[in-house]
Amino acid sequence: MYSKELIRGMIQPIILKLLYPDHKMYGYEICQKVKELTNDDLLIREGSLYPALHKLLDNGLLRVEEVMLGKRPRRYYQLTPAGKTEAAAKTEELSRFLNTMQLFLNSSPAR
Amino acid sequence: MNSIVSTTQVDLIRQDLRKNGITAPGLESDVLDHMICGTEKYMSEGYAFHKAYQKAWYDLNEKQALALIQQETSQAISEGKSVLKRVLGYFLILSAFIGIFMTFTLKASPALIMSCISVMIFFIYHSVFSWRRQKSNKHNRALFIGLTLLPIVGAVIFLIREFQFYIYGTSGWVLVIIFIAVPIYYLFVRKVLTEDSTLRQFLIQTFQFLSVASLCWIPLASGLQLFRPDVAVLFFLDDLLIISASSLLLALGLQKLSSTWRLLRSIF
Repeated sequence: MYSKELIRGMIQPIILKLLYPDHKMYGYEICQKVKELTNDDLLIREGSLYPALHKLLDNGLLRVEEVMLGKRPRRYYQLTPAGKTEAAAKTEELSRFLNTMQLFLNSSPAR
Repeated sequence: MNSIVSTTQVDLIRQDLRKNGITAPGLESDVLDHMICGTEKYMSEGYAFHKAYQKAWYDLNEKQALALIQQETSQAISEGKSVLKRVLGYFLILSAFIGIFMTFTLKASPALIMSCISVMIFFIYHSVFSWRRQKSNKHNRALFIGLTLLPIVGAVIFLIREFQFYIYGTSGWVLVIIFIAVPIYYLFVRKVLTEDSTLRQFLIQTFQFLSVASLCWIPLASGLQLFRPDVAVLFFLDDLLIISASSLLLALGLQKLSSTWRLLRSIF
């Protein structure tokens, strides 16, 4: 389990990566998938997931398709072309950031 | 044991969400589905609905978490709105009111009155209902009718009754084009001008530029009139105001209509 602060900045790249390139997923499914892929180490809470999804939607990076399953609605999120470009860039950036952090953590402090 | 939430139970969960502060339609659907999935997971483990539902609530930490989701979602969305868009929004409302006022002072006609009512509805929707995100089905049905039918009726009446006698030139035609264009956009063009369309971005930029440029011309024209009274530039003042307001209406409309449409689609 990681702290909220650490996860907060990662949520958008995680969503973009999960949906890349053409996956359709709904909110609950995203939470479960992240949990499954990280062996329960990374738990995305609803309070962080939905604001992030709606922000990505508002920025035109996601599109949404709502289907009705009887009386219950289900909203599937998918990347727009702009979202795909952003997802590739964010994943690349995150990967570089992690390498940098790894370098930093492996280095010995200057004396 | 049945692990599927019934329609009555769906209604119960929906009511609970509304009571606890989830009001935005998109977010309501998201959280509703989330709660149902959580409840069904516990039902599949053998819990009865009420116990399973209680546990799903517990997973959400506490009921206050729902209001927090709503608040954080609204904040996350409003963060993305640039200052320019907000300024343009206020500017649009102001210039449209001035334009409408000037049109009324020159000549009032049934077509213009109906058109102006539609414009008012549009502005009230975007300035009050949309920003506060207080959207109920009843409001939106009325707004849908206001946004689509009234402009069409207004434009048709104008074309039939006043075509030969209309004396305001550009402003009249701009109004007619706008009031026909808005419903046409609602009904047809949105399919082509998707959110990520380059043409749509280009049109937004063009309309914004046109609106600012035409409004900037007004003080220049006034100054010119002061020094060169023989040049009749102020004659076009009302036209410029209406072109400016109409262009901003289109620019803002293109940015907002898709979200409005999604909202309307979820209702009907």
